[in-house]
Amino acid sequence: MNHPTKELVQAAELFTPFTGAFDEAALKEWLTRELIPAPGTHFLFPETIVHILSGNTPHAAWQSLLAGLLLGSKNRLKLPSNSLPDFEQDIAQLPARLQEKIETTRVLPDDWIPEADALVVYGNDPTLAHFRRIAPLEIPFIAHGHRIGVALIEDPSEEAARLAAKDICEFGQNGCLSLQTIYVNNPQRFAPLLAIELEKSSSCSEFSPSQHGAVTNLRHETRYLAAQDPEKHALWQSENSTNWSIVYRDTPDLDPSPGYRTVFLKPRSRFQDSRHLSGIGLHPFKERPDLPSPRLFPLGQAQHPPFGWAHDGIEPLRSLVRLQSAEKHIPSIQ
Amino acid sequence: MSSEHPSRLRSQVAEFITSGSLSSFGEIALAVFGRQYSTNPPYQRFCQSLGVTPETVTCWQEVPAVPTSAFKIPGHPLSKGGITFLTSGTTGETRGAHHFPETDLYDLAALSYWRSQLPDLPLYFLTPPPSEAPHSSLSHMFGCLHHSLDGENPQPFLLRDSKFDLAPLHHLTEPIILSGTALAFLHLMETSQAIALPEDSLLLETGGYKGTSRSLEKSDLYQQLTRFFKVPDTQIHNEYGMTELSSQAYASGSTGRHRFPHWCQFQIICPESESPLPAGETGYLQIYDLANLHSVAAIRTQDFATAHPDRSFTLLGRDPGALPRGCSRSSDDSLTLASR
Repeated sequence: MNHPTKELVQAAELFTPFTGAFDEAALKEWLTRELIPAPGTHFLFPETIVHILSGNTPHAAWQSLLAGLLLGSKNRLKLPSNSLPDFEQDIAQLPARLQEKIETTRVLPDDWIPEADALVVYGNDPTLAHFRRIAPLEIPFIAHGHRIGVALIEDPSEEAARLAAKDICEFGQNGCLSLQTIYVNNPQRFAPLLAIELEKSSSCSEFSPSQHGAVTNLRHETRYLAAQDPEKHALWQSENSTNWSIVYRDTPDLDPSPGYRTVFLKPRSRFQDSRHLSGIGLHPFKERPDLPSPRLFPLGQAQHPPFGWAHDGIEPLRSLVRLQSAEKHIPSIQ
Repeated sequence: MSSEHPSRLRSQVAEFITSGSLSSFGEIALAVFGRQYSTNPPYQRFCQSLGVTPETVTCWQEVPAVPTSAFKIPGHPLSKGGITFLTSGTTGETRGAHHFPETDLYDLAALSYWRSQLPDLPLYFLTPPPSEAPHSSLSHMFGCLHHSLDGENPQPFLLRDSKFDLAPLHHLTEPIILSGTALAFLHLMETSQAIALPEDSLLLETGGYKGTSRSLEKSDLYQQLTRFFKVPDTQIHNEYGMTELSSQAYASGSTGRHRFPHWCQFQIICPESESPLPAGETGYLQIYDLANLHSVAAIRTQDFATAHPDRSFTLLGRDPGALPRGCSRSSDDSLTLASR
């Protein structure tokens, strides 16, 4: 297989903000890491990969495209209808040999799914269920659903607050890697420290009424709950703005954050692993094989997974190829 | 105010509903707030946390409004009583509960405003009867209307055991009012032959599509209804209500504005600052319903609306960022209105 590593390195500037930095050696190392066939086997590369992309951040789109191009496949990208507005323009800057391997659309053509040799889908549960239903059964189907980033903090220090604020604020808390819930020893002590850091990190954003409302509705509800049970509920918030919110909830449920720099704090003892976690930020970091999450990272690096990382624990290249075993004739045993 | 005798205040509110005028709304609203503050511990705790007491409140606009999610907290119910209406929801989802010690005020409010807004015509409902949906405020309201306005009709409820029985609609000679959720009307139009209702008939639809796979612009729904029932757009009404309220707002035609009765006031709240907005600006609908005497009169909804100077409002619909809810939702799968 002829992998277009040189062309990808020429275009690295476009990919790097969303995939992490790479050079030709990194691309080759990635290929080697995931695609060394066992003796007597070789890989069947997908001729055409269809990528169904979500619109919260451009990261998934660029990462998925990079994997598809590296495999040498044709990549058909279904972009979200009303987000990632610059994507087509950026694609037009890629080297011609790469552009030949890319088609984009905002409206999914009827023939794309039946013609796909592999399907990668980012989206919510109904989106995943829809494409799982219509995808040809014999092709690889890679689904990346809604995920939440969490952190486990043992030491509620100023440093921990600074790193947590970085993980909350980067990319507008819109990605599936964004920190949404922090489990921490002594949350009531940690909250004021985090509030100081969020105030430093947050800037006013142009929110829609609905986006503002998502924050103020949660705040309103939290005020009500805090009035009923102040031991279990509390609220810290930016003054005269919806820039940031810290919601303390001593409850077992993993609450979905509305985003826009809104984070839930819970006692560390409340942590229970969930299949909905994109990863767990640890502070201080140490290896924790007892945590079955697909990704463990030092607090402060939520949005910067390593180049070629296994999103949701799925190897990006290996998951898209199929293995062919060339079986030698074995004489029958009498 | 807080020492107001409960039955006296109840009578005052009932009298206000029957024959009051807008000018005395504020006075009664403050009496209701005083009563709710002194007798409703969860609400009192909420008000105290905001630093608001009956002594600090000078007008109804300052009365603290609870979020609709407050009705979902089982340990801190906002009212107690024998009849409970539940919000719609799917399995595993917490449903809001509005308890009523008695429904006299609820029924009075529903009847009074219906009478003032709609003509006296035979009633038919595309919902199950209250006996099949005892926790649905909509079925209860329709049952109350039937009992009080059209008690002789033997078969007003056309949805029984999750199936439509439309036979009563096929031999009509006089105009009627046919009421139901928007989803029930959609189901009916998808599964039945068109029914031409007698001239001067009215349709009343309620509820939205949030949380279902359906989505239809109001104008499209009204066009379909017009074609299917041979009823003009202006004769199609919308009822805006919710389990957490005891009163309703009505609008007529696909572009009509909604109006609450005089015992129900509202403000539009800025989604960012949570402050009241002037007429013409869009925000959340915050409602002060005096018929909610047994729970909390002031409710903050997550519905977007724009107020007009004449006390009407344009309902823009459920905030897309809010969690799903809605009258029609529980009937989407089974066509059974287990709750409003």
